[in-house]
Amino acid sequence: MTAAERAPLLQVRDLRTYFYTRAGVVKAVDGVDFAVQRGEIVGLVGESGSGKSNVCLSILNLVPKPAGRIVSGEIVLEGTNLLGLSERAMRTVRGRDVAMILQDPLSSLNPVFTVGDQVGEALRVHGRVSGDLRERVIGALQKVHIPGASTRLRDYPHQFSGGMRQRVMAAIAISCAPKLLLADEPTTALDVTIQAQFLQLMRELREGDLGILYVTHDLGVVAQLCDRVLVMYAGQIVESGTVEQVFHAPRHPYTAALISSVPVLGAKRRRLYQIEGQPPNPLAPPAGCRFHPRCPQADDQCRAAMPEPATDGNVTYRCWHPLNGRLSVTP
Amino acid sequence: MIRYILQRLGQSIITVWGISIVVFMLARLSGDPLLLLVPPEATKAEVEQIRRAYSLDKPLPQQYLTYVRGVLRGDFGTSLRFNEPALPLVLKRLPASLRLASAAMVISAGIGITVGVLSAARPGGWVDRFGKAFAMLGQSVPVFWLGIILILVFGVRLRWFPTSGSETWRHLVLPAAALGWYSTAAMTRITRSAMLDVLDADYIRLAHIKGLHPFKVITKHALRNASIPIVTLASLQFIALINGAVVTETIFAWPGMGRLMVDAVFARDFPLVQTAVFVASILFVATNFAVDLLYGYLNPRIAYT
Ligand SMILES: Nc1ncnc2c1ncn2[C@@H]1O[C@H](COP(=O)(O)OP(=O)(O)OP(=O)(O)O)[C@@H](O)[C@H]1O
Ligand SMILES: [Mg+2]
Repeated sequence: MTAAERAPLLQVRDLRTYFYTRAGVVKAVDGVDFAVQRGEIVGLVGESGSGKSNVCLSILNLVPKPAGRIVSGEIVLEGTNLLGLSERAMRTVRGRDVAMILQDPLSSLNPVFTVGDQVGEALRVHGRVSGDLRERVIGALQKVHIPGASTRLRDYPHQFSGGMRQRVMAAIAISCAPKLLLADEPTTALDVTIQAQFLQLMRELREGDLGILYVTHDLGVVAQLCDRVLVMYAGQIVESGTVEQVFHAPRHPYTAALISSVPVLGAKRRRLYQIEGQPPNPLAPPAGCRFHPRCPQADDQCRAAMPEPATDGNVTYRCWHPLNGRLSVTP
Repeated sequence: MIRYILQRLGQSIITVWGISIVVFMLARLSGDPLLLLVPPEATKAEVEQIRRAYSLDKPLPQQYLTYVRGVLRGDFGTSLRFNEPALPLVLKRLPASLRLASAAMVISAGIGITVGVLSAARPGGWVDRFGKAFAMLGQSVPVFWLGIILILVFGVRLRWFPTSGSETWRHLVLPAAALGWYSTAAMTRITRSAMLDVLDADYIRLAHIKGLHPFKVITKHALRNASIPIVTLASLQFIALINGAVVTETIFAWPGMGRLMVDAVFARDFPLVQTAVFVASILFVATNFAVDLLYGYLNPRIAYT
């Protein structure tokens, strides 16, 4: 095995993505490190506003301009630092090497073009058409199990159901056989049975070498789907590790609170967990550990200094007082 | 799609029929049309004779039938002022009007859409700021003033273009510029705001994610979705440019419909006014029909639902 093969598919180091707004600087992503291996599904969880989408957009270098800017870091895909690429070179990476599925399949497909046109578009711009484009498009639609692909490619998005539209999104994403797939809450807009089918599709797609970064609010989805999980809080990854380790023995009180706040199975919807306290103000995050105002065991050290990432076995966490395999914290 | 076309065609025919009733009624209800037809010094007997000649002694429904029969034969009555059939008089002016309006439309759509798209692509950029200043100017400068300036600069001083008449394309340039100027500002504004609405959409983000060139994203994904309000405004402007070019036509001695209509009103030439209104209405309906078909093409959700 050569060094390049052993190296992860994606390695993100000290990524910082800031928004320069009139009200001040929002550090949407503030020093994030993680890796995605080939054939691995990595879950990215965190509250709304914690910076999950901006991690994905940073990888594609599509952070909303002009306010948003990647101020530092490295995003290395198979040995190439994407942040060092020209915009022109980056365009050949987008859609070809790195693909992304957006949250809302209703608004993410262009209403005035046929599904076939939109699935074939990435293939066309990346010159990936050997032979018949139509055949390639049908192939992509079949791969995501859209029935009657050969006739449905002439239909428009509004003629598809929500679940089918999200499959079309997946077909667009895999059309050029990417190496990395970013899925930004792809099932949030779908109902539970459709969601289960979509997760099954994700499992099929990663057979082979595809690495997937799967953003979700839903810890249940992480448990079912992912190999490893990254827990994000206020622009930082506060805990990461294998799903098994993190779920059974969370080190960070935030992770523990998330896990214990998941409603019992059978509850109507297992998303948007609620934990005590206000989410941090993105313009003025707390000093020290960002979670300390909501943490039941915060002390002076937590208020004074930001904990650096510490590693214990396969788990990495940012906490002065990591939990010791206790699942919940007593408030 | 065929059903959609037939449906719109049916609606257009009904509209034209409605217009024929309105035009007919307006002529009868706004006082005795005979008073417009006869000279003031006519005797009672002469009035009655003319009344019979125009069938105005018959009941209204019968009059309407006679009128419709005439219209279907292309007989719209005789112009009082020119003593010629009214329809050919109007139709003779139509091509010049269409030519002027089309040229003005090409100018205003060309500049307006380009500036609008560029402004929306970079809000607050120099194109946007220049475009805003231009739009303010466009709306505050009266057409007659602009027309005179154009004549003085490009006609009299530089001698690039003739300042009156309608024989060649060079005659078209100055009046079309004067006429198009005003709607350019409106086209710029609507394009800018429609594009800004669309550029925020998720499918625009997805187009970037696919690796499309930003130019392609704007010209394919954004413009097509922003096109409905733009086309709507353009069609309204087009109608207005055909009929409302009176000032421009006067300044540049352009033989169009607008001047004919206004002259006919002043001359109390009621058959000619009636005919011109009818022809203008048909144009309006035809434009709307064409635009409806275009909508069906631009937005597939319209055609199929
Ligand atoms: N265009 C922008 N201008 C200013 N701030 C922004 C902008 N986009 C995002 N932010 C800020 O960046 C932070 C992270 O946003 P991001 O969308 O990445 O969060 P998220 O974790 O994906 O949330 P959600 O679960 O709601 O999708 C938020 O505090 C948000 O307010
Ligand atoms: Mg998000």
